[in-house]
Amino acid sequence: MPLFRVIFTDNSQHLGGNLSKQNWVTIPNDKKIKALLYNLPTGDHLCLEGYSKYYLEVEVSYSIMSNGSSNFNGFTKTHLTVKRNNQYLKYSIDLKTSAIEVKVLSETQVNELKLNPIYWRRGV
Amino acid sequence: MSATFQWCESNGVGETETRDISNVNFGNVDSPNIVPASHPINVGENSFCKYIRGLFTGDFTTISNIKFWKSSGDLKTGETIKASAYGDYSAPSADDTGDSEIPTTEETALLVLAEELESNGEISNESSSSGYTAYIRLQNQTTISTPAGSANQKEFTISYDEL
Repeated sequence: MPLFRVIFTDNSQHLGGNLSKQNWVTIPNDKKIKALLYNLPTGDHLCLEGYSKYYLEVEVSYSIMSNGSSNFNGFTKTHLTVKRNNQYLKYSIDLKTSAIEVKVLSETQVNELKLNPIYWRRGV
Repeated sequence: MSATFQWCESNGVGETETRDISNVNFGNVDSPNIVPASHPINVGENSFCKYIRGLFTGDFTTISNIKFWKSSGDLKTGETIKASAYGDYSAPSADDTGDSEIPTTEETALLVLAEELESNGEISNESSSSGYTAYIRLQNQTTISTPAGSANQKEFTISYDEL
């Protein structure tokens, strides 16, 4: 199952990839996103619709031990940051527990996330 | 494909880097992958500090929001682990680094920058095919109240956002 599905205003679609290769940067930036359907670990969809900007990231963690060895913890969360009416929302989906956390962020807080401006994708 | 991550440790006056280290065992010597029983820290003394950093290679677009913290492992009486995530490399020693105690939750984690900052502070694969985090300096400190014997195992975690 693709990580997400994007539906553009012209009703064409773009499919996401997987956690390792998300196919986010290949979303054409000359089209406007009408809705983004994110496939949750539970099998349900999170539908984000009507936003002016979208940004997706995956969170990865690694551990290393003293008196032990390093190990790959893997993908831990997916973050979807969206903007509407000068307000940002950040949806964080925990890939182990399926818990969804939603935070309202200010412009300053979004700047602190160091999101690369060229990978925002356009909405309506 | 996603980024390939390796822990690296730098040692020596001239900085010799060891990639893909298997542990961050502390000891009384400046060396990677220390065997603690062979290089124990005397009670009341500090370990040699360690300079570790992450190396990202492979197929990725950007790495950002890098955090580092001690995720598990109890300290013994009088034992502390000091950490910082900024500054240049210098030859490790057992002198007190003067760093703060390492955070123990993700919420309070050290924010780790990229070695070579892109325009907005991320590690980008646009200009090169690899990138380091800044150095993370660690030191295990003991006091005369620290009991002799093996220290508990500790786990250190780095997390980052990838696109």
